[in-house]
Amino acid sequence: MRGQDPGGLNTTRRSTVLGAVAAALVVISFGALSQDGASPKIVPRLTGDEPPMADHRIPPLDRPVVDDIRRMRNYPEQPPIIPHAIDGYQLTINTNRCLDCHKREFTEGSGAPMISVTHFQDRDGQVLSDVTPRRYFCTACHVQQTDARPLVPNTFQDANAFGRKR
Amino acid sequence: MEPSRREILKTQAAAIAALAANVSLPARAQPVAGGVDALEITWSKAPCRFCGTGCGVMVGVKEGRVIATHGDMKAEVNRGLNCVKGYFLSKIMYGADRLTQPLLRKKGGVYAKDGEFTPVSWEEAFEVMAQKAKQVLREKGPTALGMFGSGQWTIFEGYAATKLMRAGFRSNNLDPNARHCMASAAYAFMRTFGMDEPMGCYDDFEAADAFVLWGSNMAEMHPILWTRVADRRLGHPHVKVAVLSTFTNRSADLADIPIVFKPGTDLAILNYIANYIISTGRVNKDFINRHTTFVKGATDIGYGLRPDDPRELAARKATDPAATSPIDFEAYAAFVKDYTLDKISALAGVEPGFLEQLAELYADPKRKVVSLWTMGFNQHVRGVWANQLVYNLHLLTGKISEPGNSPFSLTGQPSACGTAREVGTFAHRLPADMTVVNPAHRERAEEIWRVPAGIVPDKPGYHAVEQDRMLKDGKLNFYWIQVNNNLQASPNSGQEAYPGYRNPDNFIVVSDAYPTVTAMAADLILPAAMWVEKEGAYGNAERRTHVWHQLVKAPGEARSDLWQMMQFSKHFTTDEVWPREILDANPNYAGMTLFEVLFKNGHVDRFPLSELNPAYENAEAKDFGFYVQKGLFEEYASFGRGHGHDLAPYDTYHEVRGLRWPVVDGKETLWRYREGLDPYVKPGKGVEFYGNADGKARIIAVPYEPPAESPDTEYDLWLVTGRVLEHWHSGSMTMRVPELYKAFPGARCFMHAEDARARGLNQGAEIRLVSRRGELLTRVEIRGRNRMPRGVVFVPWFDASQLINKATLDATDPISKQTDFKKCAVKILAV
Amino acid sequence: MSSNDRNVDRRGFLTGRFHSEAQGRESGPARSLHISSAVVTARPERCPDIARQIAMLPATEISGIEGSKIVIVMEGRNTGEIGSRLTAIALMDGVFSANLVFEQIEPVDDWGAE
Repeated sequence: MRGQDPGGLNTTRRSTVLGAVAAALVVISFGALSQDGASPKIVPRLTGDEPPMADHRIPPLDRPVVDDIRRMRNYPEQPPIIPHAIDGYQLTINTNRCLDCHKREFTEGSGAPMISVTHFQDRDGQVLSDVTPRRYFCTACHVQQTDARPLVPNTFQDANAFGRKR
Repeated sequence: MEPSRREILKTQAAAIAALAANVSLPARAQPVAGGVDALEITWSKAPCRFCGTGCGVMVGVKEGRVIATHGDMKAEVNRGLNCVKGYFLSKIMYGADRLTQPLLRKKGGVYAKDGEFTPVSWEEAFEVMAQKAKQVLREKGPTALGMFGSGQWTIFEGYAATKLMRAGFRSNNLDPNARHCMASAAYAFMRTFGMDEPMGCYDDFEAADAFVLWGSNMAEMHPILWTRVADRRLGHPHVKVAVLSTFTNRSADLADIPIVFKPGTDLAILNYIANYIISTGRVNKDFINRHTTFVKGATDIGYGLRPDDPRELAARKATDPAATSPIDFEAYAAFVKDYTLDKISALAGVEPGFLEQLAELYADPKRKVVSLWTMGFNQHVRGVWANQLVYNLHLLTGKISEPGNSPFSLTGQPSACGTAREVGTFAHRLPADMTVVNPAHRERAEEIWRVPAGIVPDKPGYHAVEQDRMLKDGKLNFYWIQVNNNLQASPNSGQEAYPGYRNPDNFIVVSDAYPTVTAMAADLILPAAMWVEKEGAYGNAERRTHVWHQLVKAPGEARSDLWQMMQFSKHFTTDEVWPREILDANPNYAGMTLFEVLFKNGHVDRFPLSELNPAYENAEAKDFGFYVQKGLFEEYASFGRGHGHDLAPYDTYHEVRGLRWPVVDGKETLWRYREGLDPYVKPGKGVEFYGNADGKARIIAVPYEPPAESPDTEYDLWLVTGRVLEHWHSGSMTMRVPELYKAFPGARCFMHAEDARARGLNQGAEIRLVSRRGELLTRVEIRGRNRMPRGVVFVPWFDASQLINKATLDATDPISKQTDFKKCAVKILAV
Repeated sequence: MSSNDRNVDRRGFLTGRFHSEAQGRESGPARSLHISSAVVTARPERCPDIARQIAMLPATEISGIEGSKIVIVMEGRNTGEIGSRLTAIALMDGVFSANLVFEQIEPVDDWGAE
């Protein structure tokens, strides 16, 4: 079956040249912070190029994060991201490869976090013995991450940031 | 991490459980170390900012900032769920490059088309803008002034815009980006039922025995509705799902009947199904006799290209594409008889077995069917036809207007229905399904708006694609764009859109929260407040009107689009914009500002500040001195009350999770046109399509006609454009959320591995994608979530560094004027 | 936690993280704090009494009572611990149901106080 957006290049074929290109891009994009009133900076993926209809060289596809390290959530309700490869995972009417590891009864063998108990509630709030069908397609909420660096910072602060101030 | 985090999590855990149980927690009962104040989060309801599904979210605010969001358990639409975009709503307002003050292109201290963006005050921005608008009005008249709005406008904003443009500036050159999105659906509703928007609602999903997706990848584009489809399918084994698309996408994962057809042949498949229903004797005779009439549509209607395009000159009925003539059932049956299984299987490239299974879903009288569609149907050179052909199937079998039997047109924007369609921000429309070409409708609008007779112009304005063409041709010279990124969205942008923006005769104003491609091509950028930085109202795809409070302040000098339009209207007096003869006949209007005529008119301003909920900010009300949103809403609502579009009193909407109109005697309407479910259906009628004077729906005979451009030996691939789950539309919000950006950082060209190999291309290779209009660089994706058939490539349009619309064709449905973003020919070259 | 902490699990194997006996549980990635909330339903007149009983359970707090519903918050080191506590509540006299609504799992390493 198809993958769920692998990155572009096989890791074994990664070269130092590509690394250098990626590093250069990071510099460009982080030079792109706006803005105390000044003209907005050009960040091609956000603002288009200058001039906007010009050809823009495309960096290599970013590589998926596969370190398997859990990331802190921004707030408890946020669905955790997927820190591993899901290339070739089947997620169809008959097979759910995600649940092969994350389902309650398989977590002992897999070491994967059990899916949250919220996933056992049906539309009417009743708790079921198994994952509710409405939560069957994991990738609607849980997404993989690539090693792309954000284009501009995001100034969101979680509740804790405020607690700390006090 | 300090203990307070643990306490916060416990407080939130309790809050979520309380919400689920509908229990209100007393603040003092919350077990919070260090005092409740330190941790207090104020939770308020709002609809999601993104798609037309209209999920309810709870927004947590602390110290003036949004710190969390989650799905609203009380919202009927989503019952506590969000998709990945919805879960990250908290971050969309906090991209570090928010626009915080007006920016005007200047050189040597004064405005210059080729100047640099320079910060200016609102006063200076409006002065320059007003001066430009007045000059255009003086020299060229109202048809040279235009505005491009959005299905992301709040209802009040769309309503203020339609008043300002039509009754203020006397121009119908107002169109929403919804033109690119669901104009075909809207026209088809009017042509079939005489009334816009779906008869059913999302409750159909829990009652259906079959779902048929026609060119809609709901798994990615309407994920929460997809959870309801998945819930039904996986929980009830007899339920079947058919997914039709021009390539295999994530929705196919749930499909019992997966169908990949050749672009454009959906029309033929639809007529085949009608033929199947008739030839197997499953027509609901009683239903069609009582509730339908048959018509034949004009054919060979062209492709909405520029009138001098050879394809338009060759089309017989390009000048009158909407014409229809009455026929009877026998003539209709004879018409579809040609659409045989063998023929259509070959034309569409689909296995006959799948086509028969699909047809049987509709034909089987015991099976309730929900048909769902979005851009595959609507962005189609025969989009209106495609919509109507699916209504044919539901009407022939009587599977309509009851729970589980529902032809359902989904929308892509949060208020495509509420603002673009219901308010009527299309170039030809007025509120409540009225049009500018109908004198009685204009008269009614002028009466409710309290403006002199003859103010509203009677000729439809320029539609979206035409606006781009007129800007380029120098016939539209003052142009104001709000809440959308049209230079990224509009077709053939390099040839037909960008030149108009930079045409020296034109002055382009863009209101946005972030510097988009469109903003960067403007002459004046106005910083906009977004989402919960203002009080708002959206209408979703199931006729649900949903209102929210302002929860936080906009950054810097950013102001809502509503404030911008109302403030701008103060810069004009009637003498400057209305013709002498109308003013002479109505001297009491002389010398008034447009603000006084349109907003401080004794009607919109009738609700004082004391009616505001003191727990919430309201920047616009505070500035103008009256409850602006309520005044606009109530005036707007008077168009529809008693006319099948009844809305509840404004304050009610702050209390509930939205209501589906018509709201009659305090009750919402879930299914329209059926007695007992819809209060507008007269007793004894059973079913009544009361939008049409005869109470009957139209079944139309129209053929398969080929797309405007198909692959040939040189341009040998079909190009389909669209979205991905993680990004919404042009990505101006989602690309600034790190988690969403990192999940899908850049566009790419999905193609079949064999097509790539034939061109010597490997996964990830940089390529040049070329059409007859333009070209761009992108990269090959042969393994991702979309599996392309040979000969078809897919490129999403969210990435501003890969403007795929440089390649698309500006062909539209000739009836709806909606662009076909799904079918044009390209070639791919190695770089 | 369960005995598999010391064995190589699939996740550990795939990521090359083997937990030796010496490292023990302190540094293992499996240590976590679970924070859960639940809704308990009971006959309204019995609710205050039942709430008092629940409050006596370890690491369990009452967040609110309204009509026939009691909102509770529980802490625990794993889902099983919380689950068995919830079962105990469900079996209390007069309780109709006890349903988990929300569970947050926080790696303990993040909790300075632990």
